[in-house]
Amino acid sequence: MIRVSGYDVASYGEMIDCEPRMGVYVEALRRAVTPGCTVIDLGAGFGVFALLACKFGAGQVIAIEPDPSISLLMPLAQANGCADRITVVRDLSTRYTPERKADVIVSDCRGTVNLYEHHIATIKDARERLLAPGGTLMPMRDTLKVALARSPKAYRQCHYPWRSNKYGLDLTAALPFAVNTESKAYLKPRALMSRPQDLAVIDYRTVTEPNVDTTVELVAEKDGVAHGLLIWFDAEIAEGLGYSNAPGQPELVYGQMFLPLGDPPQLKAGDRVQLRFRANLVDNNYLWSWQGAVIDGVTGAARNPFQQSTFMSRVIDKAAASAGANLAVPQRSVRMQIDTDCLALVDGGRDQDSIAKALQERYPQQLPTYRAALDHVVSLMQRYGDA
Amino acid sequence: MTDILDVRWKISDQAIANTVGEEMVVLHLANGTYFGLDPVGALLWETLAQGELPKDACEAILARYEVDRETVENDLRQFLGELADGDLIDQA
Repeated sequence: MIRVSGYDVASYGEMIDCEPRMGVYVEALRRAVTPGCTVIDLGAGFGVFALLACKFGAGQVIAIEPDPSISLLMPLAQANGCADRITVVRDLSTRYTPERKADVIVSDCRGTVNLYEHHIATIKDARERLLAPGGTLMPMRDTLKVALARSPKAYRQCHYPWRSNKYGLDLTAALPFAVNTESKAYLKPRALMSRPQDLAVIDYRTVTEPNVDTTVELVAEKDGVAHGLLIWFDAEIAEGLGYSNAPGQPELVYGQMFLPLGDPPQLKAGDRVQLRFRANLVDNNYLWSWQGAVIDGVTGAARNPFQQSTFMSRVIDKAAASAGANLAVPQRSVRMQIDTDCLALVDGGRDQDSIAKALQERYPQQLPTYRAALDHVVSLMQRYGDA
Repeated sequence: MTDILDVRWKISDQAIANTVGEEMVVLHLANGTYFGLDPVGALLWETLAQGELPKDACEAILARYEVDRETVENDLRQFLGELADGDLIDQA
């Protein structure tokens, strides 16, 4: 079994080619790195920030990344004459203990928006354990923004093929899932129907809470159908250095996040949308929830209520979800026994080939081939970071 | 003492329900715990979500399934207690 990295090399190349993002990070590093300082490249990927830190004079650079892509860094460091100053740590940063705290920590652990997996917890931990007093954290601050958006193109996923399709199939049962699904978009300023509002300011120098729960009011500035909410962020990498993935700015790798409204309201200029927005980190991923109503700009009457969440975009296996409940009573299964036996065979001297053969002999029905047995052993060892 | 079936409940704003067919999974956003509801549980949930009393769900269940009233009422009382313990519902 081959473990495939999260991003391919071409994707990392796109990030380097993404301007002004890359240029801003480069300038921020140039200003922050002093001769001989220590730099940590957090969530390094293949380590381009680490290479740049060396180029700008860092004395020691630690590149931390759990993904196999970090293996590219040493050959690249050798090609750039800085292999003697770079240390590669293939692990989660939360498991790393530094010999010396860093003067500069640089990262870009965002997804489409800055709230992505355990980004906040990772930054918080790095700030508290890995950063020297007075050290520099990059990015410095991100501001999450929202506006009403009109975009038949972005909304198409909510309409086709669920409400109608050219094959005459009734697929409306899937519609509730579709209208609660977020998507990546690249909308232009003309798609915005309201002025942007701040949802949250994430200051990485102080943030502790990964979740967001906020209420804003979006005022329609023109007539039209509001298909959904558009969310993006303004990034401040360092003082005076930043970029944004807002409509009208150069398109960045992040894109923007589009959250549809299940029943898009027809708005007139002056109508207000009262929005409660929540971002909750659950099971290593963010769930987005958006609820509210339209307030008529003339009468003040409320209409078009909505209560949506990306939790409702998923077809969830009830048994699997129930298994996560604290009151669930796990039952021992054959697969559990296979894993128990496999772990018992790990003694520091036995290779995976002999472990696989032993398991195949014991469980011929569940592991009918050597390949199946070996894949099972390798997969289990990878869970413990040993493969 | 008021029967729990006669108490009006409201769904917590931290609870989000995902429905597939007649079954439902409810997530508590703040603490990340999941609750799987069978068709009877899902019917009770929908009843509470509409602002109705649990005893209204009892009548709907009796109309749909061949089961005695005492069993349904006891099951609903227990289930309401679990939902309340899980912070999914609060007294209105």
